[in-house]
Amino acid sequence: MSNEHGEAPDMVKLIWKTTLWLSIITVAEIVLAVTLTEFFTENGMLLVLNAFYIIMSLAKAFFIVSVFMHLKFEVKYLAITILIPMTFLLFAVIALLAEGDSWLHMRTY
Amino acid sequence: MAEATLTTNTMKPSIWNGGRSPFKVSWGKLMMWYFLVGDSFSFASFLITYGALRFSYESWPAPTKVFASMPFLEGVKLPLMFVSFMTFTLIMSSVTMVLAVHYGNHEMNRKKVTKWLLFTILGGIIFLGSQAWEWTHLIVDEHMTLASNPFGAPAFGWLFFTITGFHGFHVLTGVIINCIVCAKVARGDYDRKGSYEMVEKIGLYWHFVDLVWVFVFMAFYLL
Repeated sequence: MSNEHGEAPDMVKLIWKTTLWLSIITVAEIVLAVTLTEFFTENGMLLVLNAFYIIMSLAKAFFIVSVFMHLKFEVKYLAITILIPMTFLLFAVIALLAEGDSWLHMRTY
Repeated sequence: MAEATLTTNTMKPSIWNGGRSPFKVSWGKLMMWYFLVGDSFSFASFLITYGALRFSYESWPAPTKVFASMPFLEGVKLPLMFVSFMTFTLIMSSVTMVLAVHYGNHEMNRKKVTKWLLFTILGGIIFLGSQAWEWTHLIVDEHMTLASNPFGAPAFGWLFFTITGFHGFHVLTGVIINCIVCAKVARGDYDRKGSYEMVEKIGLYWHFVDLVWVFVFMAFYLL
């Protein structure tokens, strides 16, 4: 029954380690949001803070999908069929945020 | 000649010959994964719409100003503290879920699976209760509606309610399915079947709900 998916021997340890990382990242995000938002806004560097949130959220997503959802231990091609469609979302994000930005200049209210 | 070719083909271990599962997962688990791929597109369409509309406004309500209240502490401003609690609850319920899956798949330990599933259900219920409080606070105290809100851009209200609402609906269905699976575990259904894979399948769904919250949290409470 064990090692059916060829997984690490000490899965429980890995689970708690992942939990620790998820918690550390979340706490770091919240601490920054509460304490430094004003500072970064005043100095016109809000983009740096936002980039940090996006990268950290993607890191959290990676931890959840790979360890909690077990995708790291599945057959590689299964992971590929799941992850490839997601890359198309990047196109939608870029296209629609640019479009939203142009609506701003069209607004009369 | 033709016979010989046929024999060599069946001897060669290739996934193209059929007869075995190339992904080494059951039908149910594979379909759960592909359902989640589809569902992530529904959430993506919500969040990308949020992004597009947000970019179309000069200014947007500041999360630290909007989300600064705590239950039982009226008038005290504690920016993002309540949502931190909600986020932590959901992360912990994901951890208890993965432990339930682990003890089901590797030990077929009915007691441990039941225990961790009950903790997961509890986490889900606490999250839903917290969200109910947050919505009530925004609707009753702050007079936020779908069409207007006191914080700024009018679209903020309906985007917040539809997106956190759609996520909350996922949590609710997750809690209900968890309850059913937990009852079946406790009754010994999966021991009789000889497989705890159903726990793993609902586990995938539950982790997905946590995964979506990472991005909903980022969009509404951080950015």
